[in-house]
Amino acid sequence: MKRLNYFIAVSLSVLFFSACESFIADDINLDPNNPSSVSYNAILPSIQIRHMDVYGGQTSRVNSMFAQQTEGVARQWSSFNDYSGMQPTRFNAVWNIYYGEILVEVNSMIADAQEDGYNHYVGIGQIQKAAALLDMTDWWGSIPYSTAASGIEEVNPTFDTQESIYTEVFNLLASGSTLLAGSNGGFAVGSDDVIYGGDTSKWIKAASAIKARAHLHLGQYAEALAAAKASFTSHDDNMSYTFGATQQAGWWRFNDGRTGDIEFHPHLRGMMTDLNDTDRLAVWDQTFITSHPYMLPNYEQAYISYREVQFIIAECLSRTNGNAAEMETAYLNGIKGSFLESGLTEAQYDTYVAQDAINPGGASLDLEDHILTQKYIGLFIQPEVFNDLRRNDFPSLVPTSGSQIPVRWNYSEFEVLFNPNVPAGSTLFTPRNSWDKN
Amino acid sequence: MKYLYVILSLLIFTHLSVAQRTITGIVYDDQGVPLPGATVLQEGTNNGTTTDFDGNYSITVEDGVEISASFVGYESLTILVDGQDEIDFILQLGNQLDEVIVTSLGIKREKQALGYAVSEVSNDAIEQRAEGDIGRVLTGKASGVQITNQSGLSGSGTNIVIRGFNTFSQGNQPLFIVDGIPFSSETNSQGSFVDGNNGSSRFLDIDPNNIESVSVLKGLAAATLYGTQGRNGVILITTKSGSSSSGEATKNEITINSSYFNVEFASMPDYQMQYGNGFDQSFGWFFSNWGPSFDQGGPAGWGGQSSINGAVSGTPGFLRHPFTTASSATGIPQILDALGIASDELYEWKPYDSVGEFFRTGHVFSNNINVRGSTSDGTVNYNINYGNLEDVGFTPGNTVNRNTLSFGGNSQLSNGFVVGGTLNFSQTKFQTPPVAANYGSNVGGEGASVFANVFYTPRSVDLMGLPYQNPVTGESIYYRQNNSIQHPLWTVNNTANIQSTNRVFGGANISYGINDNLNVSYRYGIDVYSENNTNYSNKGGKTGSLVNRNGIYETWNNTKSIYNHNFNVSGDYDIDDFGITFNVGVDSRSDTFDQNGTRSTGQQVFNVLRHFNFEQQDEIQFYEKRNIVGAFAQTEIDYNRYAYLTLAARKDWVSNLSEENRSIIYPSASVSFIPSQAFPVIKSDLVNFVKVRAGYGTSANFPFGYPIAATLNIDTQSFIKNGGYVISNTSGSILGNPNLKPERIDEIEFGIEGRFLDNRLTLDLSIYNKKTNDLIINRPLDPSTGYTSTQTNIGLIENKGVELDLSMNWLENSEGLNWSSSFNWSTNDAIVIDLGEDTDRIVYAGFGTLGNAAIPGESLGAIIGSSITRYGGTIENSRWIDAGDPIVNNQGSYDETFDPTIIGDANPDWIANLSNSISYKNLSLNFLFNYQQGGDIFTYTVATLLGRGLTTDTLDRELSFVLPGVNSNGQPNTKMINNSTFYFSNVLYGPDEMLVYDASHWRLGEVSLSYSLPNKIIENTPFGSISITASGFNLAYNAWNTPKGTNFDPNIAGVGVGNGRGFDFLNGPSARRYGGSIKLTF
Repeated sequence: MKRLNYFIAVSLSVLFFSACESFIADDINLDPNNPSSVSYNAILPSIQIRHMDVYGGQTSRVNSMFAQQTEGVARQWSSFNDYSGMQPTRFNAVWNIYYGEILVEVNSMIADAQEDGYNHYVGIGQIQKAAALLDMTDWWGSIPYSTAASGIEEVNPTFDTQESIYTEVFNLLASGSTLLAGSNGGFAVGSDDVIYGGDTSKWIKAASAIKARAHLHLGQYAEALAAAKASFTSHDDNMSYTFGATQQAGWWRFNDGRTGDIEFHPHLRGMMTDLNDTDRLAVWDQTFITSHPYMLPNYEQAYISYREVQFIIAECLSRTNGNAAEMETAYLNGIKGSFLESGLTEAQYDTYVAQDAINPGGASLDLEDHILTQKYIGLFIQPEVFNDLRRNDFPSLVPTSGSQIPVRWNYSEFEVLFNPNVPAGSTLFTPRNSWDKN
Repeated sequence: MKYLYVILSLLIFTHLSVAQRTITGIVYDDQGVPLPGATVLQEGTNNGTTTDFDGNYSITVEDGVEISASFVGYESLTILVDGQDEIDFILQLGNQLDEVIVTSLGIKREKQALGYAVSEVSNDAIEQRAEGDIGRVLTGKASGVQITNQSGLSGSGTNIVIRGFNTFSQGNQPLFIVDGIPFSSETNSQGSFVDGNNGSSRFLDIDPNNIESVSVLKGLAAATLYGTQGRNGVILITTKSGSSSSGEATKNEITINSSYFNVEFASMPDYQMQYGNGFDQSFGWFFSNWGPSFDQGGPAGWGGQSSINGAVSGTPGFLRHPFTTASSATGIPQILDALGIASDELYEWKPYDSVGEFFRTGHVFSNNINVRGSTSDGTVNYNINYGNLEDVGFTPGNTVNRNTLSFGGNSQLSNGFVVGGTLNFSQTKFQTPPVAANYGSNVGGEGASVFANVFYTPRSVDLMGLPYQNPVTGESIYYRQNNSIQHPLWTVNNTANIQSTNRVFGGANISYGINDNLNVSYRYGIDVYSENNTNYSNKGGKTGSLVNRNGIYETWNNTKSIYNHNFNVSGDYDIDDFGITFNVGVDSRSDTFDQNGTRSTGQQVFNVLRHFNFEQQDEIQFYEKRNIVGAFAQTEIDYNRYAYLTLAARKDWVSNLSEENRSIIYPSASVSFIPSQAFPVIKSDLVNFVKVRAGYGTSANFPFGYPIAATLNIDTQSFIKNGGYVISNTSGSILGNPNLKPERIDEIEFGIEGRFLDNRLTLDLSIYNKKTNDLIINRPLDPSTGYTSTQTNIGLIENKGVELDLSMNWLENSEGLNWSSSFNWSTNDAIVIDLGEDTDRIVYAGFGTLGNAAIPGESLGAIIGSSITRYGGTIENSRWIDAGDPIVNNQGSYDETFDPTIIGDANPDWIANLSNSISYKNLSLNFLFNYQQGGDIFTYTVATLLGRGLTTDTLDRELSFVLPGVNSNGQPNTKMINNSTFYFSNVLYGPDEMLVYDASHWRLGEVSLSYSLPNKIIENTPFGSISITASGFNLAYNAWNTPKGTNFDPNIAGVGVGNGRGFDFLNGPSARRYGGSIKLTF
């Protein structure tokens, strides 16, 4: 009896303690519903599409409205149109996407890839990150960067100046290009790269294109020209993503739910009518509904395009008194790119540029009347039009209310609420970007 | 945990020498009736036996020792053995000093030793009830326990909160322990309250008729041994199957309980019979009932309406049938032939009893058979129980069916081991049409609501007479000309929420008395259920989301399991004037919740409910696991049985926090002192017994889920590239916090217990103060950190309360009239003391701008929402300050301020319950009153019935109204408004503040009259007893501060089982039940 008792007691306790070790140990505390990390080929497309989606969605709507290519006419959008409704809360979603769904994830992808030595993932990550940072500093000016996107480590990130962000953008582009020109470290990027399918030469061109855009903003025309020439050579090089039937492009989704809230702007209509731009008007100047031929679900959203690069070349040559023939070619390439992108024919393009008012010949091309005008039209609803507007103060627009067109976006409401480092006194109208000299 | 080895090695196994002299005898009670199951013991040893069914015992001892006989409720008697061969004992009824109570871990302790409050509810307060839900049956039977029905639907959820809300981010529902085994009592609702959240509380799987007794452990000092699981109080249920205790002979007996009750719609509004469908006294096929009068003449008479009697003359008035004039886009005018309606069909302008006819009289039919018995020496006991419940609710489509089968038994082995076990199987099926939140005009979320479109049926609409289904397409058709209201009968016939649950729970235990003083026991418990959920709506509905209208079919299974091991060493020693008992042990609990299923949308063939008949399938999958290990110790030291000290502690290790935060030790201490025993001089016929007690206890609230790691969300369908290449979309906006700690709760309580006036008056008073520290809250982050929120520990909630239990035996006469009353009263104040520096308000239930909010300095349970703008006032800390009169705008309506302010407090000021029992010979009458003072409710039921002009409260509609208040200049308002502006634009769709009413009410909760057949009648029958009972539940109630005609019942949890309180979104009518029962034993 005694032995039996002892046996039971000991075996029970041994059973208990051996079971106890694993009973509360870490492996049962893995959440099977949500992973804590995912592989590169799952995270890269997510970053890319998120960025294209925010760029071609809310960014496009707000910027094209500020640049008076589109007009908010109903519901909230009429109050956004006169700037009164553009309160900080309206920028929460975009701010959260840039930080929470792009920066955090691209940082984590770069860090993981660096650790594994997969240099092409690092390079693509750096170029994506540079593009995101360039957007952010152009819309907001000073932004949290060096201590941002690090979770609980720094709950009140500090704000970095626009100049330092531009420096970082150039560094990232240079580093990314170098890495992509080298070895992939044993693992190539494939179809998970939804922009270029792992084509490193196109990524290097894209880095140059972004660099050209950034130099142009800073008024560094020689550097911009050189970078632009090193970048895209055709529409096929565009840094773009084609949305699809399941995840439709931003404008289509907007029009799906909010038909009639935003419409084509009379200012742009007037400008194009004066230039006999009837073919492009016929496509663009329709009621913004889901069947709008330019705002289709499978729209190919470019972050930066061949036609933009060509306009950059034309502008830089014009500003630096460069080769006129080269300038004319680039100018016409830009216009042609826009026609083809809108689904129009080369014949329609030929008819259009045959007009004297459109192409008086290379030597007679005027910076504003021709190059900047055609860039403004040719980048219809691309967010970049707001940068050009601020940089050139062209076209000359009448504010929809008050005396000033917004010069920046508001910081997110929650950032203002919770982060004491947010620069005081920022509104839609002040401060101007460091490169916005006018 | 190493000390367990030490304890085990300390166990000393002793053998006893046994003498050889046999004594026999009978143990009687003071009436001379033999006592079966009494214990006869040689003093100072564990040599003992129990009496058989006839009170006989036989024990072998030596001369010169003392033997004692004892029986629960009687005073023990000790007799010296001095040559007798036969010793009979006559035990005197104890003076209840030895009342034994089941406490934590099933440890039975004398009530007088306890330093904390415990409420006991015995089976006669639980059996033969018309509710199959033990939670509801307990309503009003224990002080400090607040029980709220989600609605009057049979099988809907039940919210139980003991001593106030400890937390707003975590659960507040108490722990259920059934026969010593943790029992999963959660409510798995089928979605949010907005979309519809039907789902039973899983204690529905217990048949109340199979319950022997319930103990409610209210304070933390009482629940220490359960660790974190006991933080919200514990409901300890002993089933009949689990109640058999070994070593006691019991009569072999079969008991049959059968009941039949009618179930009726209790909160039927008092609809007016004077006005019909329309607006501003003009007829229209609208939602509202502000149309013309049913009288032809008068300013509001139908005589003035061109659409009434347009085609025919005479009385009464006639309209064109609504289907003949419906918009052709609805497809209804095209199917008139198929519906058998002529194109010039007329429709009588009169009030119809639509609501009365829609609801039905349901019934409850319940049967329970219990068989119990033992071997004649009492070493083997068994109990078998079968129960069946059929509950057909008053709402068409609502049923509950339940079968339960339980076995329990135990055996005392000759080698000293006692083994026992229970096994319960239950099958519960709950079915109801969906009930989504409604805001007075269709639903706002995804699903439909069976109640919403019924209650505001215009008086002139014949709900039951209008065909509800398009015979061609199957879609819903109804009176509204654009067909935008879903016909309630279509809802009943084409939608359902079903939960079909199979459950097995039970356990096995083994114990061994090492010697007289030490006992070792081990228990293994399992509780596994598989809950099959179905939610569907055929296509063709007219309410809810587009997806819902196109047909939806969801099936999923929730498998929940709890495995529990408990090992316990208990000891009992007497040293001089001190008595010491202790328990030391370890306990483990593993919880797993596994959800798997499919959601299909886009129905193809009408009314075919198979996933392959739907266009698109999405997965439903969720998994959660958490383990807890605890080590506990408790000791009780008494001095001369009038001073008791209990010390207890438990340490828990919980698996889902980081290593440094996963374990916590919970100490508790309590003392009980009995002056009436210590100083017998104060004992008299007036003061029979006085006890004072004090207790301190702690616990912790560990979060569920996986809160410490930052995770990514995967959505493979968010982005599909052309060609079908699937891309994972990753993002996690909630940052995991590895430093997250459990919420800490500590409580101090004091109490006085006493018996006075010759034991006729009993008093039990408790006061307590409970604080929850380190609240787990969602802290918003600067979005530039990359995350928008994280869970963190900030803040403090304080609960203070008083509980009073009084009972009085007014008359005691075993032959004649008996009358006793018992009364309980409780109040609890829950105050949010602190939420940290960054946060001034956290909305934790309802909607962001209309819900329950935690606000520092305010009651937890505060209701926030939009308010009437106050003249000269500003809002600070969610309250109006310097507020003048309400401001009325130029239209004569109240000006609304959307910035949420506190518009009510769902906490009642106090609740009280009074029960009375009067018996005369074989006849007894019992009744229970429930009363709640204060507590607010935001109710769309009341607002809609008024705002749409349906109840008798709105008969004053031909008058003008002037809202009390001032205009924007501060001058008294004189603007006159009509009925629709007053009721529709202000009472219903005005500021949220206008929808808040005081929920004070009384209720006649239970009444029963029963008759036991006298012995002389049943003597010659096989029956041991026969009793017949007529009873009724919720027979009457009155919430006198709500409009009389709405007949509103505030016993409702409109946002479901959880932390939200004080809301009704037209989702909770109440039920009245009455009928009869018969109980037979043989």
